[in-house]
Amino acid sequence: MNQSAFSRKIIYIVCIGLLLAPISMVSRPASISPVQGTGDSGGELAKLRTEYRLAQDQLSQIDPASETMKLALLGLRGLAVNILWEQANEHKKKERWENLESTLNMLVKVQPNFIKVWDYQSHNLAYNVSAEFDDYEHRFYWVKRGIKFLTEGIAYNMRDHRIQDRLGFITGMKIGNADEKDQFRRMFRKDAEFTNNLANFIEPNSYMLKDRGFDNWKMAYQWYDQSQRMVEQGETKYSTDFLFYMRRPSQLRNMALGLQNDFRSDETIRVVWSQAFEEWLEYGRTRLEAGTIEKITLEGIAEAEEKLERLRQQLDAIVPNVRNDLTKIFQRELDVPETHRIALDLPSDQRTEEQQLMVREFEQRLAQQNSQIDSEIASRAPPDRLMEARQIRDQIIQVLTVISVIDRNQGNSNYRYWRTLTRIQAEEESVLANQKIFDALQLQRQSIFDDEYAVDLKTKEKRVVKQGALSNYLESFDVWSDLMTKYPILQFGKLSDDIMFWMKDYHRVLKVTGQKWPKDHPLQWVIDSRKELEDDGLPTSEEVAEMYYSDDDDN
Amino acid sequence: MAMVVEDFLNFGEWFPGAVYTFFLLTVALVALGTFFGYLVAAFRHGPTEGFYIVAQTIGGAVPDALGTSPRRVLAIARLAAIEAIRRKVVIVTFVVFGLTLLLGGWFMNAGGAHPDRIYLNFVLWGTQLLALLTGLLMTAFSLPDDIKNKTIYTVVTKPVRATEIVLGRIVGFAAVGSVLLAVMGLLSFLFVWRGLSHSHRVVGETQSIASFEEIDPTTRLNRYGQRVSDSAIKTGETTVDAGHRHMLEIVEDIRDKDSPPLDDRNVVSKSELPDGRIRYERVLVEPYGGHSHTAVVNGSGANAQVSLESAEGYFRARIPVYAASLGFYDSAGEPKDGGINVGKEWAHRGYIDGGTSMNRNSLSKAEFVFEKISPAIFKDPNLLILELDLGVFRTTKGDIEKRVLGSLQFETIPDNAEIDPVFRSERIVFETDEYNVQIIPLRRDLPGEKLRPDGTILETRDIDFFNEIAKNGRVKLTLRCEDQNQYLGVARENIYFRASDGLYWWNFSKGFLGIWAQMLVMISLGVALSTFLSTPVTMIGVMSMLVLGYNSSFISGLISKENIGGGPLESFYRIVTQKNMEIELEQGLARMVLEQADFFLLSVLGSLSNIAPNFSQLHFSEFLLYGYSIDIHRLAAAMSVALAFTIGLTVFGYFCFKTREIAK
Repeated sequence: MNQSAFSRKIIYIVCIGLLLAPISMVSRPASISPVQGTGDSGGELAKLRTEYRLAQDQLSQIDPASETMKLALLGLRGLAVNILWEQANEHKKKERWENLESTLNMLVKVQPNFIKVWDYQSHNLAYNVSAEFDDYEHRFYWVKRGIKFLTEGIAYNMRDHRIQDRLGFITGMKIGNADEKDQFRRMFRKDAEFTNNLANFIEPNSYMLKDRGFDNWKMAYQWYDQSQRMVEQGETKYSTDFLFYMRRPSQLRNMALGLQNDFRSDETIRVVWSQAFEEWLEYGRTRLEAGTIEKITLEGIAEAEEKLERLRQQLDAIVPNVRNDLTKIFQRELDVPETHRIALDLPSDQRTEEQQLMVREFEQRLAQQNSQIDSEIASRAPPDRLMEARQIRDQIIQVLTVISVIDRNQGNSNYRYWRTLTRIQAEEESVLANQKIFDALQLQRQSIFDDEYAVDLKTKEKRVVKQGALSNYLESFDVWSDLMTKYPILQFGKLSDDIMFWMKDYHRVLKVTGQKWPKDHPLQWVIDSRKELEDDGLPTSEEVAEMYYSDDDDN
Repeated sequence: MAMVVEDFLNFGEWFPGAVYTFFLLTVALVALGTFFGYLVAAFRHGPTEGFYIVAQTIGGAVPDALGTSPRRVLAIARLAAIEAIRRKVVIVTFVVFGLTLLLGGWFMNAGGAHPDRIYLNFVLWGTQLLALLTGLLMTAFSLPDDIKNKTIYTVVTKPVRATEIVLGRIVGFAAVGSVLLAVMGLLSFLFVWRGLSHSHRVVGETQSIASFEEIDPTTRLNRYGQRVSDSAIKTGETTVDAGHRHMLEIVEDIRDKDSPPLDDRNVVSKSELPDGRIRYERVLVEPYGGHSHTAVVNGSGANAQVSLESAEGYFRARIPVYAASLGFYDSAGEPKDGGINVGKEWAHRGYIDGGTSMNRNSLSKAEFVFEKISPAIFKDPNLLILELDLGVFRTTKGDIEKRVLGSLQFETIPDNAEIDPVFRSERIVFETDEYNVQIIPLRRDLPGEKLRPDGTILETRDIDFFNEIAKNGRVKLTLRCEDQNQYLGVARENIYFRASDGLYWWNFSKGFLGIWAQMLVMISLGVALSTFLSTPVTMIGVMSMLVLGYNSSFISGLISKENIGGGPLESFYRIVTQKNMEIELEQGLARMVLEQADFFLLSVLGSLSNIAPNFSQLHFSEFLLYGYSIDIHRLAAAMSVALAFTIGLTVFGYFCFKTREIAK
């Protein structure tokens, strides 16, 4: 009995020993000499860890507190994580905000490399907790806590750009686009304490504008810039090229819009617009992965069209005098209405949004037709050049795909619109128009609606001493009208929405002062053209005519 | 924000019910114990012999109980104490605690809005953990080791009763634990006091009034773009110390010539106005995270030096006078069971509305009824301090720069509504400050009116709060929302009179008494279980009870009938069959079996949760964290619970010990 028990124990020990051997081989740690960079690369697990860059020192800086906590949990990390999440939810439900924050600080110590935790909980603080507070100063405090919380995640995730992306998003959108954006931006501008606290991550001067203080959009720009740099240095990118490279330049445009809203336009703001235009154009020239064989650029349509033309010429050289006849046959099937013809004749910058849609839809149909024509031409090539013709046809189809992808992506990012807007906003006449609007809004707030005149008693000449809100509005509308005529793409979108908003203000002032909507309002044509798509509540030409007609009748 | 009070405990009302539950539970446990004792004895010695053994054991308990000598209990207690000290558990605990206090400060992120809560939470949680752990380690090893080493025979062979052995050990260990806890309490107090005490300096080249900036009259904002108070004329700021800074304001304070003298240490200048009133300019420090500092001005003019005293306001023990009841009325003035639910998951607060453009005169209100109000309970009856912690809910953005307005109004509750006149104060309109405790100081003489029983106004004048409004000790306080389309949320503990402040050190001690009560229960439990279980099993048993005790409210929630989705088995069934909680299960045998099995399981869980002490009842941390005095009712209830468990566990331990061979 004793003998068998003893031998059983021996067998167990031997088995344990045998099992330990492969385990130790597989999990042998790497021992690379720091001096020569040579040595043992370790077991299979160590190699895999290195290959996928999963070792803790490759993911982040080693934090003793976090590591101790994870070790002390003795493999019960999952349980602790669950309890902490449960607690965090309970604190949030019961509105114990400080407890929520301290639970989150503990939670991220046990899940420091899980990006979604940082992402979700920073959003929780900056958006959800912040919105629970009634006072905007308290709301701003919690937005800052959310940002601060997220910055702590950087050290734990040095190779992951998503933390910087989220920081850019919160700093930009939450501070610059919330209902309380005026108040938030006002406080952000002056918050040297907060910006100094983040100086380890971004130099405060890099997002400070002389006389304007700190700018949240510029800070967001810096976060996205860091993110872009990380990817440029070879870190994994977790987003499509199209979205990823759009984020940074968009911040400058938002910055210019924000500044224009907060301050009277001047050279400083004009320069920001100009930088925004340059950055946007750079984005348009960046080669982007878009699922096509070759990378595309948003500015690459002209180049692609040139290439298409060249290829078609090559195809026509192989099979001459066929294209025209085929085109006529195929186009007969397409019924091109007059409206489409007008839109097609305009350069793309000068089409309205509606015309742009029309053209896009028509071009898709036309592209199908054209590629069919190209295929038909290729099929008619003499037998000895048939292969060559088919290769050219294939290249044509590829180029057509590229054009369509560029076009779709331009539409998705509103690329052409922002390119035009940033360009014209950087022009002197736009600065003037913006100044007039700013003055008009200020004067309206002070209830100074009409111009102040001085009359020379001798000459009876009237001279404007101080302009009121109404004349400032009108002068600004004049400039916008010119610009919109020149660039019809601006008739829909952010600028025209803003102009409609100002015109409603202008309309209100007219009503208050008992004046009529002018017969020859410079933007009357924009109101009329927009009326078909959306009602801005402003009088159309017919309504204005009726207004004056009934007055004439009364007289 | 203020502390959330789930139950307004009154010891007088609670005690009879608790005694009744205790009695029922004792009877049930005695019956069960006797039954199981008989089963075991019958199994080992046969049914008849078993009966005699059980009868003998129970019969023997009476002389043991009556003959228990305090002298012998103390002697055993002394031995237990010496043993505990020799085991070095206490010393190790103390060293760990000392190290934690020494090094803890390094890891504490006290830069948040409430460093006091972080410090207090740290010491209370640490002390509680260590005290309970010490209690467990002292008791779990004691008896089993004695029995194992046979040293117990040196005791049981002496003329000592089993009651004395069990009780003596509980008393001995409790005494050691008490001394340990007292020392830990003292050190904790010093740690918190040292950690929170700080001061600031004024930011600027000179520490003088010259460092203050004028306020732009158009924006009325300080250098951080934040609003300043209405009477502010200049602003400044302090240095960042202890993780925060304070904003400073020089405010204009105009008072009547004959108004009572004020603390003039913060006065920058004083001048007489043409109408005879006095205009002061004084430096005020904006509170931060529940504390502030007193500014002291030395000298005069622009070179007057400003310094700040040490932090004040952290060490509070507010004695709140809560309302006896809270009633809600809807916009038509009809009484409702609760306020409006604005869609929050946690429906602790009920909401009242401020009307809409369609219904400008909403009659929605929350009515608090205060009872036993008299000048005697107020520290200064001439100054009534109301504290508010209201929720705000906006249905429209409104004016973002402005806070939502609310109003308060006091009214008599006449003994005889047909004869007695009614005194009613004017509406006191205030700006809300969500998630912060707002302090509204009121004079005893409130502007208001005297009304006839039919509601007609008899006279309009200042009315005395104690002698007229609350003459019979009862007063009605009505809260209304004064902003259209917005809502105010309130629970019973959200509006109270801050009658006076208790002594902080005494409140701190009461908090530690709670930990002491928990430790006592833990020691009793450890001793009782160790009479018949080995050390590891005792530890697991006590730990399980601890987990059960701390989560008893969670367990009660599980057992409650309102738990949608059913008990554990039904929930499991729903998970695997992917049926959500709301779907009705099809009728049939399977459903019946599931429901019956769940009923059984939940009943077992319910009984278990009753046996385990409700540790949250003995837990007073929240009071200290939020700066409220621990009321005597709660303390008395906690002590009663601890005592009841100690007695019950002593009896239990006695019987278990008695059944072992060694004690015979």
